[in-house]
Amino acid sequence: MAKLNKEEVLNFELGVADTPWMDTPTVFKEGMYCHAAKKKTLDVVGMPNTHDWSSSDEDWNLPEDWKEILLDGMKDRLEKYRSFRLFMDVCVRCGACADKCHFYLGSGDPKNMPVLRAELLRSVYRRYFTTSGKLFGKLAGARDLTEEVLHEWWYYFYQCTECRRCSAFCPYGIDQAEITIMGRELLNLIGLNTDWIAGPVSNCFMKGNHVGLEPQTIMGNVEFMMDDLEEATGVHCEPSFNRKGAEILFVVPSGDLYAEPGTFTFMGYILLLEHLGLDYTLSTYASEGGNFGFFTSNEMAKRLNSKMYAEAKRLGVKWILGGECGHMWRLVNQYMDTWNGPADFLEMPVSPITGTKFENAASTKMVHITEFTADLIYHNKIKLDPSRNDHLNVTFHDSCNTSRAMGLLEEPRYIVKHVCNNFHEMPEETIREKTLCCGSGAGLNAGENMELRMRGGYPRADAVRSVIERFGVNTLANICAIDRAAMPALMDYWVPGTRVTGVHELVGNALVLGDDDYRQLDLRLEEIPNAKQPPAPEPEPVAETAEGEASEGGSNA
Amino acid sequence: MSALTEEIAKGKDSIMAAWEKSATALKGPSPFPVRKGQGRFANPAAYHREEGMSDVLDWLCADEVEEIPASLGDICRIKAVQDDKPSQSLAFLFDLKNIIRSVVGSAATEAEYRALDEQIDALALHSFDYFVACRNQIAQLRVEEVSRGEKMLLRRLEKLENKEMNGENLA
Repeated sequence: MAKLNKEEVLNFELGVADTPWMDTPTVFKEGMYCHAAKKKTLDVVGMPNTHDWSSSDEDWNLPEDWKEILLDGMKDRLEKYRSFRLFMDVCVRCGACADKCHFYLGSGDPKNMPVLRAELLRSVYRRYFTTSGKLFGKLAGARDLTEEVLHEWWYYFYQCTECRRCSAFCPYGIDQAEITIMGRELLNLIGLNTDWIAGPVSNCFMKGNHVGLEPQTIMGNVEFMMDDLEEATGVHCEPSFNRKGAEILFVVPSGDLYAEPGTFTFMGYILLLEHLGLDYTLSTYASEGGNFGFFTSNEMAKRLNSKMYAEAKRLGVKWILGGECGHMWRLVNQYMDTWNGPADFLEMPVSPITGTKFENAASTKMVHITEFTADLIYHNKIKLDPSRNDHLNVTFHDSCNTSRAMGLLEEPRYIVKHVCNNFHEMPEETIREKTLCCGSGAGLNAGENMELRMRGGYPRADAVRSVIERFGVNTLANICAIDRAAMPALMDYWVPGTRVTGVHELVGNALVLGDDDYRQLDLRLEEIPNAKQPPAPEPEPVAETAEGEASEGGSNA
Repeated sequence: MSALTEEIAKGKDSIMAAWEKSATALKGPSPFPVRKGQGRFANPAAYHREEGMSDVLDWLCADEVEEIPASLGDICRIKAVQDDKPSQSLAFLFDLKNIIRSVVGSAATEAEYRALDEQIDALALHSFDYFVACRNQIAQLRVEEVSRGEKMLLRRLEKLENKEMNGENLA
């Protein structure tokens, strides 16, 4: 057989593209992007320059002056947001962020390196807003804003989940999520949103939640869930809706109101709150903790966020309790007070059960339910039987927003360790502030981009796999509605057989409602293996079998 | 152990290095991410790629017929979400034929090379099956996700159907 030239065969590329990134064309690949936003959907909330277009077409039917609109928009934002201007200038391209992005780790596409994703915008900034860029163009890392550049922006700014893991490793603290946020905000100036984001925004604006659940649907769904709860626990719960004068307004992500496994988490919340006899109410108007406006523009996020405070004011509650949600808590913790605060009409949250003042929420007046429940457990105010969760071998996924934007690291773990006997952490470099994203946040949890989601979630799934291999973990707990919606698919693909659950589903299972609580079913109405059995009743004296009466056999036979 | 498999085992590091370069090249289909940093979680795709490739080389060198290594499935699973054609995604397996030929010496016989090619073809066929199964699963994931979101709607429908069956007024 003829031998091949060794040098020739070994001369493979070293992972470096043939062309510089600016000259490497962006190819739209199926499964990597979402459908375009519909004009009528954007019109509901009065977005500018809406038009019909398709993300898979070459011609996006752009407004004639699209370039001026974008450059004017960029100028406005550079003047308005000091952080944006700083982040456009300050990066030294050290590459510390490059391999921290789950999308880069899952795909190897260099334009998914956070530094390069930011460079997509920076190159245009330099060309039009810096002297060096104006004079030296490409030599200074600047490039013209063209339709190809615009397409590239759209493709890659909707391949970022704004998880901010890269920011945790940036020596300058550049918040790459803010760059994506600005990129998306600019695209929205010319009607270029995705339908998966624009739809929930208009639904939320019109009906109070992302999927457009109307009040009667919410109440109907809750009724179903309460039926299941009664079947599992024997306790009938009737949470109130829109009740004026309640002490607490309870706001959950709407995913918990209609989709599994979020519905089981909702059942856990309600079982706990009803068991405590808390004076709380749900709202069918502020029926969404999440906020896809945040993935559209600052102004839209502010508008949608305001409903929670408005409803709290209308109902006259004292404070707000929030469910297990991710980006909801970044907004509550970092933005809400600036947007719509101060909420002076509310009071500093105080747990009516333990008396704990939640001083961390002194300004927003909003408490995360894991803070509330951890406090209950700490003060020994609820009785728990963690053995009911013994068939679950649990690990905990820190949601990006609650961990990096809120520092909510210990409370959920504290709860899980009290309601489960089997808990194992994932490797240190994949949890807490360094947590890996689910790959579906920031409005990317659509169906048509499933490949993108599977790529992005792969590093997280592999960390789960590692604890499956080492400890036999079979359950992934989390405190984010998007995690609960998106991770079942992620787990099914990469680590099949892994259950996804909210923390309060585990709480609901473990909660002992009274001395006679010998429930045999969990909140999914599945049998609890080795469930404790009620004590056998005192044997009654055996009556003698009457002559001629049918016998069951045995000793009487 | 044949002369060829002995040489493959001996030159495993060189073969791995060349195969790595071919698999991570940026030309054509989506690349595997290039390995950076230490440890599995610094780059899980690269970690499993290396593990899978190493297992494949060990499998080729095995004295007895063994099952195709499961870790090759990990590579196929990663490749199946890169949105390239199966022929592009799995071409790296065929690179192995030339790479091995360029690294090993001349001791191997024509028959041994033919047997090696057959083994690599078997790997490729197995990988195509796995790849297609992964692609089908992605389609199924979409259906199941929609179905999880529709649970309450289905229960509502069920309730209406029960009412209808019991002759109750649905108005």
